[in-house]
Amino acid sequence: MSLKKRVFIADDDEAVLTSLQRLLQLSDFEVEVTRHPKEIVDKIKAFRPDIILLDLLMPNLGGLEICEMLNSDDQTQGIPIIVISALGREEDIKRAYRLGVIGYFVKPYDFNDLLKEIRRTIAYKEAKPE
Amino acid sequence: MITIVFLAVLLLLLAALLLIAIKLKAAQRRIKEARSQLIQSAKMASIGMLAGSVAHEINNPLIGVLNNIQLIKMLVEQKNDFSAQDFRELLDTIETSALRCSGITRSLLDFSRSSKGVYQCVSLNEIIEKSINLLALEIKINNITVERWLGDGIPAVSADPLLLQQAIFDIVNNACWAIEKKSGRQGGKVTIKTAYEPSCKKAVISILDTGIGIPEDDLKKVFKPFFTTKPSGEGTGLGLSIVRDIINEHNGSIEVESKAGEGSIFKIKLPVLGGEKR
Repeated sequence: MSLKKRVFIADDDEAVLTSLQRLLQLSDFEVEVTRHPKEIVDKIKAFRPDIILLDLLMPNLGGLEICEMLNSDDQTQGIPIIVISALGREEDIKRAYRLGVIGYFVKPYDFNDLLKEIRRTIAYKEAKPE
Repeated sequence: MITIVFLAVLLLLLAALLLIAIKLKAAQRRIKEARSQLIQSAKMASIGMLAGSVAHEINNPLIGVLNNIQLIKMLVEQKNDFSAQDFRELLDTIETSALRCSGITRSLLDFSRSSKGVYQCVSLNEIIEKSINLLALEIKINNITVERWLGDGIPAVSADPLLLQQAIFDIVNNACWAIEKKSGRQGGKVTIKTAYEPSCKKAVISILDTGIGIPEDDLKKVFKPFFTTKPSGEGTGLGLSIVRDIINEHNGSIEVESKAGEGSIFKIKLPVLGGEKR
């Protein structure tokens, strides 16, 4: 069984998705991705990630609606979510935090900052008593 | 004597008429200039609205550029088995992303240019695509499906492409607004059709939306300057009156049908150039 931490990325932009996937793989994570919002929940249930990176603007189903779906499902609630979005309006950020996301990165972000946040969040989750 | 007096009066009248004609011409020129400025102001207001969209549309490919540069750095630092082919592929991705950024800024710059009143042979379908591209974020945020039924072989029209793009942009932008007001993030559909009516030698653009629609009492007023049903701060009431002026200037016509709560159809008819196809 792999001891690598697992990151799930949902973003409909191919260039963002592929590059971020490779960067995280090189940073020693196991990574699963999707460009299709409708398959996110099922893929997350199957992959059981330690953290989710979620774009807000995807066709048919927005990131915030997906947050609500993940929060209300026994199998997915509690998995930390970091938003990665090109939307940087205060109202979007507040809405996301109200839905329980633990981080919000506005594109273009610094990958090293994102990497630190991912590691910090996973370490905190593991250290926190259930 | 009478003849001399008559001639003098006639001359005076002619001089007065000439003076009036000159003043009228100058007044017409000032009205035309003021109108152009008004159109340009309305366009700049649209561009202000687009600023957020452009930032968003650029930030996605930009992160593609930055991530791939970071990836090259990491691969070099970690001394991975990194072939020339891998390197080439990453550079290609960076180039594609950078070109996407450049395409977005170019289309905004094109749109922001002032009209010079130059009419040329234009393809309606191309103008429609350019207008929709500018609204990509609005369309995505509001979960709107844009369905295109763009007819093949629509004859070209003689038009000022910048003005025509502005008119179509305004109607599609209004359609997005109407859908958002009705359905929020649940979205809706904008259908854009182009066709050619040989009987009247006119190209027809139909823009249908599934938005909130326009109440019957307001339908006759929508093209009047400063009439708006939008809340304060969301519209000047000039958009559709400018659209009508632009279409009239192209010897075309515009009409609207709508049902409150169900949506609207804007239909523009423009005369085509003598049968030539584009």
